[in-house]
Amino acid sequence: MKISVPMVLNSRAQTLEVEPYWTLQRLLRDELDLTGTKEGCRTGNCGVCTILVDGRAVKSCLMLAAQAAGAEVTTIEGLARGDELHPVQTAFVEYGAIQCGYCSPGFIMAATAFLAENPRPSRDEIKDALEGNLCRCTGYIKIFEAVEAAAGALQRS
Amino acid sequence: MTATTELHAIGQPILKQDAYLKATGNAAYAGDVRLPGTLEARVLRSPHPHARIVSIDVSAAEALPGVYAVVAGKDVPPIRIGRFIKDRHALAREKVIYVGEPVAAVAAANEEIAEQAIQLIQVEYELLPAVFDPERALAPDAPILHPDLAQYIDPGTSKRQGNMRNQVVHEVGNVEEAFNEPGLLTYEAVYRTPRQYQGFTEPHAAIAQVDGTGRITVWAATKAPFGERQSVADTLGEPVSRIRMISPVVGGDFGGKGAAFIEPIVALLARKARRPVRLALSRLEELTAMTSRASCVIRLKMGVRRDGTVTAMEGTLLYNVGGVDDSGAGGANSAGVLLGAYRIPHARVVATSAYTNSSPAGHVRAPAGPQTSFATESHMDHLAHVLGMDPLDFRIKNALGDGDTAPSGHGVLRNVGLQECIAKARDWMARELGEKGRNQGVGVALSLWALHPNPARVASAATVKIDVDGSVVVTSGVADQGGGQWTIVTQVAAEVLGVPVEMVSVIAADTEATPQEQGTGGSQTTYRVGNVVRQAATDARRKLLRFAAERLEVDEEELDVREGEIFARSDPARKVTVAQIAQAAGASSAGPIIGTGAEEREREIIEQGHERSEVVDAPSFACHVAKVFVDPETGQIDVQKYYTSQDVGRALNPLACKGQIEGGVVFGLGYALSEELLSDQGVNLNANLWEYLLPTSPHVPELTVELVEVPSTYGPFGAKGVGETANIPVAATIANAVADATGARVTQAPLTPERVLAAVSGS
Ligand code: FES
Ligand code: FES
Repeated sequence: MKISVPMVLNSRAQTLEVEPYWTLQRLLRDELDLTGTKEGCRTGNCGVCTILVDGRAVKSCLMLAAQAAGAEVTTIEGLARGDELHPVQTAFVEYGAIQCGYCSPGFIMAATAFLAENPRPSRDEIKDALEGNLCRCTGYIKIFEAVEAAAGALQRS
Repeated sequence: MTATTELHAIGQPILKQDAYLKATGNAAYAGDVRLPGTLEARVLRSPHPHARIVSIDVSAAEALPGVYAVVAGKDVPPIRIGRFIKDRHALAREKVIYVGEPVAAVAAANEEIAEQAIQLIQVEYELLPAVFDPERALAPDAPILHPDLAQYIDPGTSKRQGNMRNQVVHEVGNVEEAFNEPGLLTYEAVYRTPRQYQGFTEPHAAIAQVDGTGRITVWAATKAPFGERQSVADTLGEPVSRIRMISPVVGGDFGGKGAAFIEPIVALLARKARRPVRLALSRLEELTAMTSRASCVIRLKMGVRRDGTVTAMEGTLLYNVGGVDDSGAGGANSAGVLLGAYRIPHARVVATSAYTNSSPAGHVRAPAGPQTSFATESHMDHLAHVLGMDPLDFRIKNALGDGDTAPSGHGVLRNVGLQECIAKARDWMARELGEKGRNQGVGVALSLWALHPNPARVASAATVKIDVDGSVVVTSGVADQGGGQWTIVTQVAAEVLGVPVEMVSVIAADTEATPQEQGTGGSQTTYRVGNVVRQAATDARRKLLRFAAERLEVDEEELDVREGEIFARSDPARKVTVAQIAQAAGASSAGPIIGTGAEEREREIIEQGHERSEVVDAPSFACHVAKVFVDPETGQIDVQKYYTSQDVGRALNPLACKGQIEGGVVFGLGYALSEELLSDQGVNLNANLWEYLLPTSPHVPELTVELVEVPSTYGPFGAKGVGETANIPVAATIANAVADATGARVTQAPLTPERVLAAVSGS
């Protein structure tokens, strides 16, 4: 039996019909074809499914769709303003923080939430904040540099 | 090389074209392909390490509403498949030989029904004795996993029998005599290395679709669509032309995504269900049933003179390749690789791989590299210590140089950049290392990845087409698993043709639309694919200039191309755009401009001829340094600073080059410190991401990467391979730093706190 769940998804208010056992990840990827939110473990250990729920970073494999009732949900597809990338996205592209890119949407969402909370983080704070996101390609260095650059860009904007 | 003197696209930190797509969530990976009516697949896997399949009853599963197809061993032909040795079936037929081996599969309307259906399949097994230890597997009374091994197709020619998958002997000089030299110092030790998971963030995924005529298209997370197509075709009993494999964007590979495990299964299901079928593996499946780096036990003995000259090496390597071996010649090649970056005149190394009832072994970033390096570089360090020599001086004294034979025994080394790497490392050490405090130590190690590309056996090709608006379309069979291969292809074509990189697009890794390609990997892709793209672009450029020469009434030799314009060097005002020429050519009887590079390649092969098959012109060397702190109470290692200088020949894309090296070092740190796939009776114990410990961001040390550029002779613009040199020596570097800090040598990787404490307390 599906239930109706109202939410604001990528700035659009809508009511979605969901099975009570669906995770947000399942809803986004398989029902709404928002495949920018990735799937890597379904156990909360890789971070590739990270999205924003009311501005906070959430691993969408660990949250039921029904729990998002009344919430504002943002996925990687909803981060840019039209063609204009979010400063975190721009920094990831420019600093070489993206190789295979499978981890990138999750990192970008996690970093966006983190910088909103801590606009001037130290390198160590960045490292700790991103602990829940795995990247096997980059060795993380360029991701740290990108987050630092994004922090600067957000300050200026 | 191109006639353009200043390079505009090569050597620039050009943003990856695809980074934008990836940053916005618009890059479609195999698991993101959406087709209407797609069914979800699930696989039933063996719970036993070794058992005969007595019967399989799928009737209850087939009867479940929402189930469209069930397949099992009876649906696959007796012909075996495999990337190297063909030693497996897509679904087990008579027996299972490892826990997690696919036995049956289901396609259903959704994943819940598929899961349920899997539970309804009844399999009766008769348990067989199993063997897990490679040494025991080679004993005469061991249960035999592959009774028909002798009949298997294996591209390698090595020796195999019983559970011995292969054995390779590498011999130079006369070892017995060398070890008998009076006064020679000898040292012998045993090293153990773990099974390591590739750890890509994107688990394997594939989706298959059947068209009205029964032709099948498979989108898969693979770097080797052409090789996998063969396995799919063999499993389905179809000619390869009836199968189309497409490799979209791939979420990391590290050696693990070149073998057909799930692709034949989705294809079988799709054919039976007549609907698209998708399968995405769980991490449990990834870490239970897919491949990992073969564990290895290495016995190593070296002989060294008092002046620090290493004269003799004797070694044995014993690899556990599990139930089926996807590590190919990795075990075999590693015999020579044990010599490392050193000139050792007398050596005998025997490398043996054994089948056991463990999960399969496969390729993992630099197959055989980290295992052998851990032994050889630890050993070298110990010898330097015993001799009272500086560890780098000792290495330099024995290091390979130009004119030496490559460790594989094939080809003579050219363009060796090792000395520059070491010099840079020394400068950095002097500048940055500072004082060594209590419980701190510094370790070094050298790395070598020496590919030997034989131009006569290039399994690559490309076409380059100039469109009517002056844009360029390259087709290449190469997959991009995150290493930036498609970007490099773009850059090379842009450079040769004198058009902006934004004007170049790539159609890639599609068995129907692109030329055949052997697959990304071995740090050879830039070198090999870069070269064929350069040749094809040169071909197109020549055709372009020929046309322009007629139009402008100048000699072809007089012309150059820049920013989409063809002009006479002596009189730049005489010019025409690439677009105009492309239009004119397209409207003429000569037809549109398409470069293939075949002629160019032929010419280069003839010119370089003999020399090319004799030399290793792009050996990739590196020097690594680590400073660590070892907690004497807990045995915990804190890597405080890490440094590497690496010879990349020519950095076609410096940002991507450094990124690959940084990623490689951290990959190696996982192998050094925490990554180890553990198992008991063939069951992998830490088959999840909370117990199999991949490096996470807080573990990353302060890391400095410096590039050395000693160009290769034949690589595109002088490039050498990059990806694998960086992770090879990390475990040894750390072990050497720990020995420096504590005086104790840890001979088993990863260097867990328990192992460090045990070594320190001398047990
Ligand atoms: S898929 Fe959600 S954390 Fe891995
Ligand atoms: S870029 Fe590949 S996992 Fe991060």
